[in-house]
Amino acid sequence: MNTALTIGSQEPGLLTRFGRTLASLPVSYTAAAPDSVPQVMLISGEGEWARRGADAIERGCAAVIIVDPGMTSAEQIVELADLAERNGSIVECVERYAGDSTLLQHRRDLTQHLVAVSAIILTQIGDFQNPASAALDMVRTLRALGQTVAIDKLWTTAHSVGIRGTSGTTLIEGLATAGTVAVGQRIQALGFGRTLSMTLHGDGSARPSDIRIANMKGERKWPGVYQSADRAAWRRIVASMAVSTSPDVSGLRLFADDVTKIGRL
Amino acid sequence: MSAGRPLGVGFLGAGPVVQTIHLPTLARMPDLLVPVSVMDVNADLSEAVAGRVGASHTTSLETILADPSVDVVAVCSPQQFHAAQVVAAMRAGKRAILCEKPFATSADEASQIAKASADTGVPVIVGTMHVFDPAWIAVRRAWGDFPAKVRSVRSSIVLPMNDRFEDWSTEVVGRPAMDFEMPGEMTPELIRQMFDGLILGLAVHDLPLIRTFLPDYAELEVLSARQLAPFGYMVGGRAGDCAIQLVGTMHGHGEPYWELEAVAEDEVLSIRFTPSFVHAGSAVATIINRDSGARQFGPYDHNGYESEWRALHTAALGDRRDIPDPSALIADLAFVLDVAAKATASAIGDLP
Repeated sequence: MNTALTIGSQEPGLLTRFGRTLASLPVSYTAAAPDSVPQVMLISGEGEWARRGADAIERGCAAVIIVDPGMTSAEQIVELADLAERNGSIVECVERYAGDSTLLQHRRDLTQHLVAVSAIILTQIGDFQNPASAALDMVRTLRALGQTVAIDKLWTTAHSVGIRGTSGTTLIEGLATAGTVAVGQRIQALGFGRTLSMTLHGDGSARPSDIRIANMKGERKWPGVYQSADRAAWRRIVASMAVSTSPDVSGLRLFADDVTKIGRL
Repeated sequence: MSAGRPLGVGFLGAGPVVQTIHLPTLARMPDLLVPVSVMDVNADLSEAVAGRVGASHTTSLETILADPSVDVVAVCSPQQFHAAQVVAAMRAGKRAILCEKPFATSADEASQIAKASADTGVPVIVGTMHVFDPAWIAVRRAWGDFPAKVRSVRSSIVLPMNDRFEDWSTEVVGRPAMDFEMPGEMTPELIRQMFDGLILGLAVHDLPLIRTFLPDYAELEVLSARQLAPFGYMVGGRAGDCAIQLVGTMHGHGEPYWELEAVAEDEVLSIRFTPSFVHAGSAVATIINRDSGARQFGPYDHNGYESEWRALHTAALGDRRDIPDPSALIADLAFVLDVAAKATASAIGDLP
């Protein structure tokens, strides 16, 4: 009996990623026939992705995967969350940094350590759609690390965007620069008794990110997870669809909050 | 003077910097430079430190300046005395001056030094060891037009307390007490004092290097400046089209992280420095180009402390090719003071 979920892609640009991930999950997924409505739809995170996600659900998809979601209308994200909740549909986001598999694997421990730091500094190199999306990438990583960030300043140059804020009493500083070399996001969390260092590649590959903690015992590297953010998101869909409880859209609502924060600046 | 005789060095100040940095460095080049005199207002300290190297000791600036065996003066006193002592040493006819950073605390003092250097012809260098680090020098020679392409530059200095590294360099005597209490209520004057201390004491190490990537450094805008407890800073801003992030702090565990990074569209420079005080070779500089891949410079067997003393020795003998022009030192200082002043203003602006 074939119990695989059918999956399709809205945009041709996602096909390479689609094929790579599909090949790594041949039991759980099968490509949908061209003229059918897939159970799971991949949607590019550019432009009005929330509206396109809602369209897919209304056409009958049981789940949607938003790939690299960027800045869009916060109201549309909330509408997508409302719709998913009403329909019992699942919405998963593939975020290249915030969805990093190694980060998510150690999120609970990292969050506990971050209670004891006084500052978190992010630096990011890579392409970005616009300054706001780069700022959003940084805020989303902080969200994944359990930080509820209040951003009070955002500034730009021709090729960079800086953010400043707080998370409780923790100071937050971020700088993203458009570039094509040494691409990724680096996070350094500074406390008197410990320093956490994270290097997130964000390249869609299964290359594990590097997470280290230094304290009085020395510097220790945490085990890496050799799984792309895409594959991890597809697996979360499988796990969610295997249970009959209502979908949790709280993450989507928090995404809308983060978009609103950046949009205000 | 005989070309074969090592130059005599007189030290103004006998604190940890002299004990941990300069005396161990000079011990590696006895054919070039030898300590001959140590001056400190603490007579016991100057005697103890001088005694280690067979030098004379004094509590008098005038005595050391009048000593004909002192060819070169190293100004390692508290920073508020630097400018006056540098000028006095030049006017006393010394052959070269090394001044610890910062070499002045105002543009007016810097001008006095420049004038004295022009009047007397005495070369001066500032002890910004990273400017003299062999890895920095090597990557500068190799990077072509990289500085003109830089879009952002970041300095991150995250270090354990100094005593850890001082103790690995030498046996320190007369160490001053360190006290990093954060004040309960910030006032504009406290903020100014803190940022002056943080920028002129810690960020100053890398600001001359950062200025290399900022053609519009005079247009610096500091957009965020905050203190880190118990001792540190986070400064963000821009100069023209280049973004800047400066972070410096000290912590209670053992791992040092001292990095400088400059990012262009197709190339990234990353430098990892050793902590201050230790004598463990140079930094490692890596420049990664999208097309040609990575090139690494270092680690070399000596550090910037040794390079700066060798450059000073050469300059004292009349060859100034390896030392910065005084105008560059003045521009470096102006940039440091500008960062401190604008960080202070930004932080004061954040007061409720």
